[in-house]
Amino acid sequence: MTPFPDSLDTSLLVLLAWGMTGILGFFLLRRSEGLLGPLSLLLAAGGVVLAFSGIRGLVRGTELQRVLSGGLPGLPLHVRQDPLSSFFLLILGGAATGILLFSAGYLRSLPPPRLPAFFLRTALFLASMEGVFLADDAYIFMVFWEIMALVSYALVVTENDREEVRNAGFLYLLMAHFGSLLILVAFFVLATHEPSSLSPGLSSFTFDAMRTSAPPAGTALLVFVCTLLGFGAKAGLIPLHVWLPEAHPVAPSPASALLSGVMLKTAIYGILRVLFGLLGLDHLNYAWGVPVLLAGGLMALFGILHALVQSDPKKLLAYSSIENIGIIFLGIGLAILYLRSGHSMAGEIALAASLYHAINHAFFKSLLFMGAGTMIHATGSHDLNGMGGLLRRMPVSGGFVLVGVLCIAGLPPGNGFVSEWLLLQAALQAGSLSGTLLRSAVLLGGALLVLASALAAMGFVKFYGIGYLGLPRSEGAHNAREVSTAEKVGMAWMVGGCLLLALSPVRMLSWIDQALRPLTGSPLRENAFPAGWLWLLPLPPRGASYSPEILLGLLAFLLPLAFLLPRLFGKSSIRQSPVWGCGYGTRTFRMQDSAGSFAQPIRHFFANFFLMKRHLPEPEEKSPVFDLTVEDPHWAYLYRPLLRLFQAIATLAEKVRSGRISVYLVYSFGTLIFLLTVFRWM
Amino acid sequence: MSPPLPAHPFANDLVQFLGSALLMSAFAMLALRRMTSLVRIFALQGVLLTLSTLAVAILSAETHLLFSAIFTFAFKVVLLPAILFRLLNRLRIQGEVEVLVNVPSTMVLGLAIAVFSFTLAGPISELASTVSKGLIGVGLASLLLSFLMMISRRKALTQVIGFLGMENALFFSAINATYGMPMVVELGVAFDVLVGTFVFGIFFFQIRETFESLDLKHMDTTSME
Repeated sequence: MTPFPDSLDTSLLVLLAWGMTGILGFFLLRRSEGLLGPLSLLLAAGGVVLAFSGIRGLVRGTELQRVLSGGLPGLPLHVRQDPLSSFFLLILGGAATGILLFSAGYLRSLPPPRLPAFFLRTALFLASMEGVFLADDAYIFMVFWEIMALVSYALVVTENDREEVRNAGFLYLLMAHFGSLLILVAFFVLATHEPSSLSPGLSSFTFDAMRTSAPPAGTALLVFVCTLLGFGAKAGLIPLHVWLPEAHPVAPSPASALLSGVMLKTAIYGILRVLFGLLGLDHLNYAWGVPVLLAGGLMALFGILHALVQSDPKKLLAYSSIENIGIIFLGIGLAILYLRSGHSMAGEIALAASLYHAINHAFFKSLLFMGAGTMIHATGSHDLNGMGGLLRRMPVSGGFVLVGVLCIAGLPPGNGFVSEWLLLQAALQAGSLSGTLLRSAVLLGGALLVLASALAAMGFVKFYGIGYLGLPRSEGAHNAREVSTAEKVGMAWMVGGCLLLALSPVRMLSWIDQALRPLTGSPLRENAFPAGWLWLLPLPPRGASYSPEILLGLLAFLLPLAFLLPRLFGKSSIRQSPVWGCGYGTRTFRMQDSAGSFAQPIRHFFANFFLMKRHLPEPEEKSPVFDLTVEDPHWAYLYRPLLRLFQAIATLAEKVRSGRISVYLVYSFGTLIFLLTVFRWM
Repeated sequence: MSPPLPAHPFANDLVQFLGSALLMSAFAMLALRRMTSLVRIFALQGVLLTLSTLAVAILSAETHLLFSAIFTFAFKVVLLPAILFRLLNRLRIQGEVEVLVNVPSTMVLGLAIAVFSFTLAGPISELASTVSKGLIGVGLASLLLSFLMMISRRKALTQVIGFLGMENALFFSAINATYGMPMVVELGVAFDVLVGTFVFGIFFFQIRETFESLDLKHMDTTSME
C-alpha cells in the first residue's frame, strides 16, 4: 500500500471536489462575490491534481478499474482509468487550471447576479467532462455525456437576454441531441453483440463486455458510421459543424475556452474509445480510413478559410477549432488506414500526432480564447475592426497571445509545429501503401494539411496584426487597459503549457505511446527514440528528425546576430527624416488594412467555399455603402432546405390539429376502430 | 380453481340478462337528454356491474370476484355518483345535455357500432373459457358506445361520464373474458378512476372560473393564435 491514493481514486476525488465546490460556490457567491478568487483557486487546484493524476497514470501505464455501488438498482457504476483516459485527464486538468485562474479575474466583469450560476455551471461542466473520461459502461458514459451537453448549453446561453445567444444555444442543443442519439445507437449495437457468456440474458452495457464483442462486418460499419457522426456532431465534423461558430463565441470567454479547448476533445476521446477500444482495431477496415482522412483534410481547409474571413475574433477562433479538429480527424483516418494495412509504425505516428495535436490545441486555443476575451473586454467591441494597437496598451497579455498565435500557426519551435510535422511525416509514408488511389488519397490529405497550416499562419497574422498592431481603430481600443493579475497568471499557465509541449516532444510522445499501446497493440517500439530526449526521430532509422531545443538555440544565436551585424558593419550614422508621405498629409487608422480587406485575396481565390452577397453602390445613390456578407454555404444548401422541408411537413400536420377536443376524440375513436378491424379481418 | 357449482338453471340466463341490461344502459346514456338522469344511469350501470360480478363469482366459484363486487358497489354505485351529484349541485348544472351530433343520428351510429362489436367479439368468445364468454361483445359494444358519447357531447361533464362508462365496460369485459383482472390491478384502476374524478371536479371549477362556462368550445382555441 502506498500512502497516496492511486490515480483513479485521486481522479474520482477531484470529480467529487469539483461538484461539491460548484454547489458550495453557488451559495457562497450569492452572499459575497469577493469569494470568487479563492473558490476559483480551489477549482484550479483540482485541475492541477487531476493533471498529475493523469501524468501518473501515463508514466506507469496502469489500468485501474472500480465498480462503485450506487446508481440504479442492478446498474452499478463502472469507472476505469487507463492510459488513454489518463491522457485526456491530463488535457482536462492542465487546460482547466489555466482557464479557472483566468476566470477568477475575468468574471469580475460578469453582472453579479449571473456569477453564482456561472460558477456552478463551470464546476459541473468540468466534473461531467471528467466523468466522460472515467466512465467504463455505456450507462454512466451517456449520463455524464448528457450532463455535459446540458451544462455546456447553460454556459453558452449565459447572456440569455440577447436573441442571437438564445438561437445559438438552441442550435447547439439540437446538434447535441442528434449526436447523442447516434452514439446511443452505436452503444446499443455493440451491446447486442456482446458474447453471451459474459452477459447471459440481458446485455450488460459495460465497456468490458463491449470490448469482447464481435460484430459482423456490416454491423461494425454501422457502429463506425454512428460513432463518427455522433461524436462528430460534438466535434464540429462538417457538415454538422454549423453550431460551433455560433455557440462558442457567444459564451463568456472562459466558457468558450473550455468548450473549444477541452469539450471538443471529449468527442475525440469518444471516437478513439469506441472505435479503437470497444469496437477494436480488428473490426475496422482500412478503406474506412480514407473518408475520415479526406473529411478531416477538407474540414481543416474549410475551417481555416472561414476563420480567415471572420472579423469577430472569437468567431475566427471557433472556425479555427474546426480546422484543428479536422487535423485530428486526418490523423485518425491515416491511423486506421495504416494500422489496418500493416504499416503499424506509420499508423502509430499518425495516431500519436492526433493526440499530440489534441493536447496542443487544448492549450493554445484556450490561451487564444482568453486573449480574445481580454481584447473584447478592453475595447468593448466584438469586431477586429474596432481594435488595433493593443500590444502597446496591453504588453503582457499581448505577449502571451503572441506565443499562442505562433504556436497555433504551426511555426517551429512551437508546439503546433511538432504535431503537424509528425502528421505530415506519417502522411509521407504513403509510398509504402499499395494502390494508386489509396496513395493519392493519403498524399492529398497531406497536401490539404500543409495548405491548411499555411492558411492558418495567414489567419493568425490577421488575428494578431489587426487586433494588436497598428493604430487603434476605435475610441475603445485607444483607451484599452492591461488585464488583471489573475488573468495574466491564467494566460501565463497556458503559455507555460505550450512551451513545455513545444520543448519536450520526446517525453510527450512516450506518454502518448503509453496511452495508445492498449488500443493499437503495437508500441512505438522500445527504441522509438533512439536519439534520446534531444532528437525526435519518429521513423527510425532514416526518417526526418527534429529537435526544438537545437532549433531554439540556433534561433537564439542567429536572431541577435541578424540584429547586431548591420549595426556593427553597416553605416554608422542613422539618418532621421520625415517619411515620404505619398501625398497624404496625415496618417489615420482608416488607412490600415481592415479585417475584411486582409482576407480579400482568400475570398477571391477560394470563392467556392463561401456564399457571398455583395452590394455595390450605384453611381447615383445618395449615401453609397459597400456591403459584403459572407456565409457558410451549408446554411443555404443543406440546413435551410431541410428547415423548409420540416416546415412543410409541420404545416401539413397542422391541418390535422384542429384544436377541438371532440375532434381529437374522433381521431382516437377512428384509430381504435381501424385497428380492431385490422386485427379481426387481416 | 374449485370446480364450478352445478349451475342453477337460471344463473346463466341471469348473467345474460344483466349483460343486455348493461348494453341497454349504454344506449340510454346516448339517448338521454338530462344531466341528472345521466348520473342516475351511471349509478344503475354500477348496480348492474355489481350484480353481474356477483353472478359470475357464484357461477365460477372465484372468491376474489366477491371482493371485486364489493369494491364495485362501493365505488361505482355509492362514491362516484355521490361525487357527480355533488358536482352537479355545486356547479348548478341543470337542464339539457348539449349535443354536437343530434340524438337520432348518434343512435343509428351506435347501432352500427354494436353490430361491429359483436362481429369483432365472435372469435374472441370462442377462445375464452369462461362461463359468460358470450358477453364479451356486450362489453366491447358498451365501451365503444361510451366513447361515442364522449365524442358527440359538448359539455365537459358528459365527457367525464362517458369516460367512467368506458371504464365500466372495460371492467365488464375483463370479468367475462378472464374472470377479472388480478385484484391489485382492479384496486389500482378503481382508485385511478376515483382520483381522476376528483381531478376532473377541480378542473371543472377552474374551467368555469376561467370561461364562465363548461362548454368545451371555449377550450377549442388551443391552436396557434
